[in-house]
Amino acid sequence: MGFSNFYKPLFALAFLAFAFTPAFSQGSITGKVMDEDTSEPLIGATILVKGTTTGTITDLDGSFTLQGIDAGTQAIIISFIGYQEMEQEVDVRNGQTANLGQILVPSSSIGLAEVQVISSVAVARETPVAVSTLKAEQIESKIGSQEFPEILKSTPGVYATKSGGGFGDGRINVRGFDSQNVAVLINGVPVNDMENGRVYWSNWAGLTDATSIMQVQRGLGAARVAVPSIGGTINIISKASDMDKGGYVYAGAGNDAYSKIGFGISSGLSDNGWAFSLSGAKTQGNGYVDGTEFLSYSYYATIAKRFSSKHEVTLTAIGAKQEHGQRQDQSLLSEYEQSPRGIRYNPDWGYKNGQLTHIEDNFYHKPQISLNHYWTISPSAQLSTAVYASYGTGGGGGTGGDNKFNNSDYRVDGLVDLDRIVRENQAEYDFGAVSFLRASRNDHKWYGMLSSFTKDFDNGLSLLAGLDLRYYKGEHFQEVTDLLGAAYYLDDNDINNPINAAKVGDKFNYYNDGIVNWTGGFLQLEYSDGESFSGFVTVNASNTGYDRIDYFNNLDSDPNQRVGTFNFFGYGAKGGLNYNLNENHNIFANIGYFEKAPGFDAVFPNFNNENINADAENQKITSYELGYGWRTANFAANINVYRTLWADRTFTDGFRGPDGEEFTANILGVNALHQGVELDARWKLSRDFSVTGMLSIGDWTWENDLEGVGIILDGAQIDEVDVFIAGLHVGDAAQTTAALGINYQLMPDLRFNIDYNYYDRLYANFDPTSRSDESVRGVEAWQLPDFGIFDVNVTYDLTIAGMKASLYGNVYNLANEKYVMDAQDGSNHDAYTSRVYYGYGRTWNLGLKLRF
Amino acid sequence: MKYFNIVFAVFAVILIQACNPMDDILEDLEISNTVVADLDLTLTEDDYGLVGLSFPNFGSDDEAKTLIPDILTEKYPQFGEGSSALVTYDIYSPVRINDEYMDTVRTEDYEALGFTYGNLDGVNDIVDVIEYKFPDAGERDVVTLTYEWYCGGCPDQGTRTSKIANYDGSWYVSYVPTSEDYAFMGQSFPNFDSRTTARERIAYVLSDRYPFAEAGDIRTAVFTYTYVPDGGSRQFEDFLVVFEYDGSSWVPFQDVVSQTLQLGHDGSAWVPDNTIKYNMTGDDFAWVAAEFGDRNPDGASSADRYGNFDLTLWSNDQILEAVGELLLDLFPAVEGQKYLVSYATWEPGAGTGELHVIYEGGSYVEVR
Repeated sequence: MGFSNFYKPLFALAFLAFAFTPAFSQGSITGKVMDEDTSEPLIGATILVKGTTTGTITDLDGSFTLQGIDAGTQAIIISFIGYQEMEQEVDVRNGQTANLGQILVPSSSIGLAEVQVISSVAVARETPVAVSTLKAEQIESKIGSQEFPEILKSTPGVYATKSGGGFGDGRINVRGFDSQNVAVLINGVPVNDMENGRVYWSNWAGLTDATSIMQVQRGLGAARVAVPSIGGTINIISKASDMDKGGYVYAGAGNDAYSKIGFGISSGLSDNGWAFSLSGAKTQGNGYVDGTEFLSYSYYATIAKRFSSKHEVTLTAIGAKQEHGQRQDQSLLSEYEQSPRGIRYNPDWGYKNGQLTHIEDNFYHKPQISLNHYWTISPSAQLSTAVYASYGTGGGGGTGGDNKFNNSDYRVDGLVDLDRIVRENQAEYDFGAVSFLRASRNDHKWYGMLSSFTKDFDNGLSLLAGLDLRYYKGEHFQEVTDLLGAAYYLDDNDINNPINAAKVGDKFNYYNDGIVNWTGGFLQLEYSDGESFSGFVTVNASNTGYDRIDYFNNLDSDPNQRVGTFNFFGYGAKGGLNYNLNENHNIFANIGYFEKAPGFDAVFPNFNNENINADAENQKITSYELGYGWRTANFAANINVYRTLWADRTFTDGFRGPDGEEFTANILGVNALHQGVELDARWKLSRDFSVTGMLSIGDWTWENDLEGVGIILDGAQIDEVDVFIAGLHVGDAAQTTAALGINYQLMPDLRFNIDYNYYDRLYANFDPTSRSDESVRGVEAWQLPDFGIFDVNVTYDLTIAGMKASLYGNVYNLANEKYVMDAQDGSNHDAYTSRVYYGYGRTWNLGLKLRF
Repeated sequence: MKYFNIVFAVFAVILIQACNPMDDILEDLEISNTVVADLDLTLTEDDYGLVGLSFPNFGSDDEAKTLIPDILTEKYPQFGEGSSALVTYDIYSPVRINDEYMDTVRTEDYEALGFTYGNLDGVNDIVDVIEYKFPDAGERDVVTLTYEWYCGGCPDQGTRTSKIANYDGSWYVSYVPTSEDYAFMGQSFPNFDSRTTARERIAYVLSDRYPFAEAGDIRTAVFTYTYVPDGGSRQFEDFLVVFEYDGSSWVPFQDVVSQTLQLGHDGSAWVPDNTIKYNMTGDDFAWVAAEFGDRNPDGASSADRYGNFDLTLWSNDQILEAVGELLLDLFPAVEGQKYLVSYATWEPGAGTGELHVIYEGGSYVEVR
């Protein structure tokens, strides 16, 4: 019997069944599900006809269509993780389609909408900036053991690496700018270091479990407060207390003895308006790189109270107490090849008396506590205020005294022979340490207030006014952590205690406080016609006051021990427009200019209170951007072009006058131009298969040479400065990045992601101001080989003992590609003299989350 | 399910990875598989055998300098460029009398040399006489001279016989044991039948008799050595011993002398090299910072603070200048002396640097 013969009757039957369908009198329902606060489409929300098993999920633009629904009054139930369940009635008529239009679904998190206003979260098709947004579910399934910023690696303009490979040592560059020039905001609170602008991700290990939204706004971004967003702004919104009672436990394991256990509980909103959430995790492991063992306890807590419909208060605490071994020193390719440990080689550890000892390590704990108050003064006026405090304690370990640690004579199989250093210390006739271990401490206290008042007018205009106050005091000193067999270390750097026989825990070398006072304000005018046009204009101004107390270089009796405040004024203005051509197409543009105050070290270049560079110059940033968005049910794409001119990058140089007096010259004109095009797209080919893609091509170069710039003192030229960088590519971040992702739902409960990330035109890092010799004119830094990495992610949803559970499996760098991600340019500007960090080889991670 | 094929294809692509450009770079890495070591060794009998010597010593310093690199290469093929070796070896350089002369200074000799009193009154006079009477006498010759000796305050006035030996171009009036001396040295007869015993015991007598010498002073002794050759009758002959004062006692030269030679591996072979390795300490950087405050203020304050050369602030020439001046401050300047100085750097990122310098014409220059 032939195949077709057997099936013929079946087809006939099916046809008959189909033909008779209209007889039952049915219709269709369509609609579009959106977030009530941000108007973002909710992709993948479940739509169910009440009392039936008929349902569907929403498309890329939040739209859905239900067909073959019995005529009559029906109710549909809309549900989505993180949102309140909604029920909506609809009248279905025979042969017609009932359009529900936009269905706005409120978040189930208390205070989430409000905090998004404080933190200037960008809204698609409304805020005119280039933006990529990641939600909690994506982070949850893919983060595994990755560094937190790596979760953004498939978004345009971003280059994220693990740096040395230590826990929390990852870094992220946006549009070719490093972390000092990328603003990071957690719930609207800026967390870039107040003195040097850097971001230390290890402080924020808790965010892995506590992030609800992570958004990269490239370029000027939407932040209203003055932030160093030359490259962009990373906006992280933590999870808020949930309306519903529940919780989870998590256990994970991975390569190199990685393990993580965690929990989270939510009380749900009580009748009297209280809600709290608490989560915590313990993460530990040996690290992929040798000598990078780590242990971290992270926690996150939030308590919310609704007093009335007008007042809502949330108290949030986030922190992670961690310690981890570091790979601080980059090595030559030949050193990795010669090491039996290959790309895992780390020169910064050894064995002391049989015990693994980190020479370079990091230990830190920086809880941040924030009290937010949201006051709805009237339907058209709101006041949101966040008062926050953060206390950092810890520092980085390293070496003190004579540097035997980097000396090849003191290495056995590439490891530091600490026992020999101990023996030599013990052989000293005066029992003092020649070489020892120390920590450079950087304790700080940071208090701030961020307040934003919004007034909406009837004609679509809104006015926002805000205040940004910060006080920061950083305490910097070195302390002895391990004398390596000696009894003390004799230090003569403390003028108040010139014979300082420092023992473990004692300060030595330097001890000073840096104090930063920040006063900022902004004014923003927004317009939205509620449909096609929206725009904004913002001006902000800030004053940065730097003060310094030096306990070692100045006598206690010296009034100059505290030097007094030096003020630097910065300001900025930006504006943008978004126009939605129709429901599929939108275009936007923005333009801005701002001046950024120089960093603390530029003002105190010699680490003392004597030679102060009170005339340090602002850096000047001009940026504009044009973008286009296209969104249909099955396809969404964004493309934008940008151009950012970074002028007068801080460049100070020390000179001596004719009488030997020291002074600092501020040299202007070190400029960089970063321009490029960024594209990202998502294509849903079927209900269970979609493809994501990204392409980002940058053209980031240093603009011009400085030739024979005269250093003039009292009308006489005393020196000349040259910098030869014109046309050189900016290093440290891949100028071409591309990503391709495949998301495949093999079964309703089993999802696959394969992500491919490609990097090219990556130049080794170099300090442009060190290019002072004419022989290097036009010589590019070493261009690293291009490379591509495959990551695979599997998520399986299941039920265990009546509880919903998810199993996450991740393999990173599946093909075990050998590649260099971080390099410092070498003397010959080639592969052989540059110092590098290799990226990780193949690693894996498996996690199980049980929800109750 | 059609998309399953796409997913499958992607996996296939991953597993059939295209060539990795990193591999080409690594292939071109010139990694020497040799090891760097600082050896300190004394040659053994087997070592001399490696270069075909049947005795465990060299005939001369020149022979040692020629053959030691061969021994090291043979014995330690694994050590390469940057290695150093301090080799202790033996040289067979016995002190033996070349020719013996004997004469008495006569009246006409005194007159010819202008010694108007007909006697000699100082060691210089004795040397004058020898050079006059034995113009052909030279290295390791011994002259037995009888002469009139009048030296105010000296013992042995009058007619005296001395044995004068030439060592290393200079004439020395040798110590010659008397019969009493031989007895004192435990000999039944006025001679020695063991040269080793003779050297030891004469050294003792010299230390007793001439305790106020200065290190480096040379003295000679001539004793009577007796032996019976195979199938012959007993022989008596003069035997020369040379002593050098080492600061506390007189040390006889043995037939075999220990020497040391410093060698370095230049990448292809071991070559005699006096390079001294030196690592810059924190104090050294403080010294450099103090000296270079004017010439390189940024670099100086960085060197002082971090104990390294920040390569963005220090050019190679400036480092050479700093290292050269530091060496002049630390060590006596010796023409031709080489130093291999290693120092910490900041590139940025911690690293190390090395400079191989030689003292030439008043300053340290890089060895190339």
